[in-house]
Amino acid sequence: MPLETSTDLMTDAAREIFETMFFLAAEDCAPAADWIGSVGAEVEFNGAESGRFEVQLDPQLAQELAAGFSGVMDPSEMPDDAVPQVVCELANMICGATLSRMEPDALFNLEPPRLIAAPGSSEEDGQLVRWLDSGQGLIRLSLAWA
Amino acid sequence: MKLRILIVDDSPAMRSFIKRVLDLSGIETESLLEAGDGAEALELLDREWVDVILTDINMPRMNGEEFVRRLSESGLTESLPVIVISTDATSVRKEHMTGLGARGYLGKPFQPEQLREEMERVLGVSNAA
Repeated sequence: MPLETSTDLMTDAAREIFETMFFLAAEDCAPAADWIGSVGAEVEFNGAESGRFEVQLDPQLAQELAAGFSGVMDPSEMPDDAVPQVVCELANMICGATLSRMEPDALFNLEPPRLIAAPGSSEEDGQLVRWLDSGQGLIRLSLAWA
Repeated sequence: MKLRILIVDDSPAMRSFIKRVLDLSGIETESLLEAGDGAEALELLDREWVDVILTDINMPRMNGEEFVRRLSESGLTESLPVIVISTDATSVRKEHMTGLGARGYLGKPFQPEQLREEMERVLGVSNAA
């Protein structure tokens, strides 16, 4: 599958999840230079193919997404673990939805998501990366095949 | 008809979200029980009865596939409907899980009305409040 098509499928999956589960619209944007302080999670997968998906968000956006997902009006009332839980679930959902679109006839196994630090400065060959801007913060999506 | 519903998912955030979606969808519930994986759900089912189970697939300790298989082997799925809620929306996975004994399947992301429709289809009743 061409790289651009795969990247579009990943973006489409992410957009649908943001709109359906978080009522958030996100548009393509240019990569942010010197992006720091993001909150992120990764999911490793195996099966028909192996690889790793990760999502990174601006901390303020992650806080707002977690509040919306948890049904909490005031983010200050959220439990401390709400943001990491929701970011991990977000990574799980986007990864699963992306793989379902890329390989609709294949079976994949997704490992439990885990929190990660900021994205690396370099990108691997064949790594799919796309940036989105929600208006409330940036989102970086990345998928790499093993 | 008020339902006793068991939600099986390792993500507390997702369990909380599903509870809220059930509330928004207008489904009448008597109680909502929770388990973090298939093993915990089986332990809970030893002492509690429920009308329907909503389960994830990817979970530690005992995943949804093994959970549904165990329920089928014990004959429970004949009287107790299981609906899988998973990020894996492929027809391959859906056929695999229904082959194991699941009666319904819902891919994430989903809307509240989709969950209600799937529950009504599986239960064969209209349960909206």
